[in-house]
Amino acid sequence: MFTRLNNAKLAITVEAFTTNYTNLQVYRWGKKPRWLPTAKTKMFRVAPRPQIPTEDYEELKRLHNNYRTQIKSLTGYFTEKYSTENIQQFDIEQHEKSIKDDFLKCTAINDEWNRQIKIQREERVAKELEESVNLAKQRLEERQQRQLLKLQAADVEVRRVIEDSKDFITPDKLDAAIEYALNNPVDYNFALDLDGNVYKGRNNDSVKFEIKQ
Amino acid sequence: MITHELMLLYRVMPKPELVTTLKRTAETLFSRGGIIRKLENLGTRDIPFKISAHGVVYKQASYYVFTFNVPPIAIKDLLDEFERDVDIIRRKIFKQNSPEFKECTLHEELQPAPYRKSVQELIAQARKLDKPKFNYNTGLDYYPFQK
Repeated sequence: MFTRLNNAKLAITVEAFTTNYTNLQVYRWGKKPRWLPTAKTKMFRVAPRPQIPTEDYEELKRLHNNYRTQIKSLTGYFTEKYSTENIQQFDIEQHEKSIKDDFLKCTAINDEWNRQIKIQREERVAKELEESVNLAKQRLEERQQRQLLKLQAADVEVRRVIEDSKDFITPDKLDAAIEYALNNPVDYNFALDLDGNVYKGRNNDSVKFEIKQ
Repeated sequence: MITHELMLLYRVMPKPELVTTLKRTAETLFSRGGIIRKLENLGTRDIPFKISAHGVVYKQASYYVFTFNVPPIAIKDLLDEFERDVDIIRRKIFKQNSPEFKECTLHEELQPAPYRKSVQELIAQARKLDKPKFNYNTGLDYYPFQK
């Protein structure tokens, strides 16, 4: 902001209130210190009256008059609006009544909301209950199914073991089993070739067996 | 009910002695509440390496397999008992595996490498590590200007 001052050349003020020092400008006086009086040569100089052209004067006067009129009407308006005489008397009963009315209104709205939410909640709870009952039924069914499968598997296993038990080596069959094992060595080794032939036996000298493709 | 397999390496003995030993082993299994399902003779042959057992070095053994059921708690006792049997060189108890059915994929495995699914998967995996290449988006498979 530049300001033309009385006996100073130029005054430069701080642009904005900020800690940004790029905006900080030094307030400079001219060559003449502030405490010196007016120069002797200029002491009794009388500055000539500014010569304003008539048209300019008329225009400025018109603008000034407009300004004064508008400001006056605004002042009158605000004075009228905020004058203590015009403020309504504070009525405590009226105030309390309005508070009560407001409360009743709010309560009514709140009750309406509660009513709606209650309906929604009942619907939701009923739906959830039905879902959980269905889930429980489904789980029970699955569990029974699993149990049944398990029982069937166990049954199959038991039947298989009963079937196998005919071949179990009991103490009285032991001698025969030992005799049989001694006379019949088993050899699980085998080899495969690219044609899918199986060569059984450890020494690879046995007949080859065709694999059924 | 877990079915176990008892793999035994007996020292090479004449037949009557071997019968007695096998009977003794079976009796041990019976005494622990076991049921013997099967007894197999895998033959008498050289062992892959010499084994020292009960102060003697063995180079040959008779291989026998007992398939049996026994309460699981008895396994430790059985092993202990067999360890002290001087006719047994080695003993090991396994759980019996049930045979697993597998689809035959030999025809696929015999294909040349780039046609094999496993190789294709490996290549795809390696392609993921490639560095991203700039795409000109010209719709051409070559660069139209001088480089």
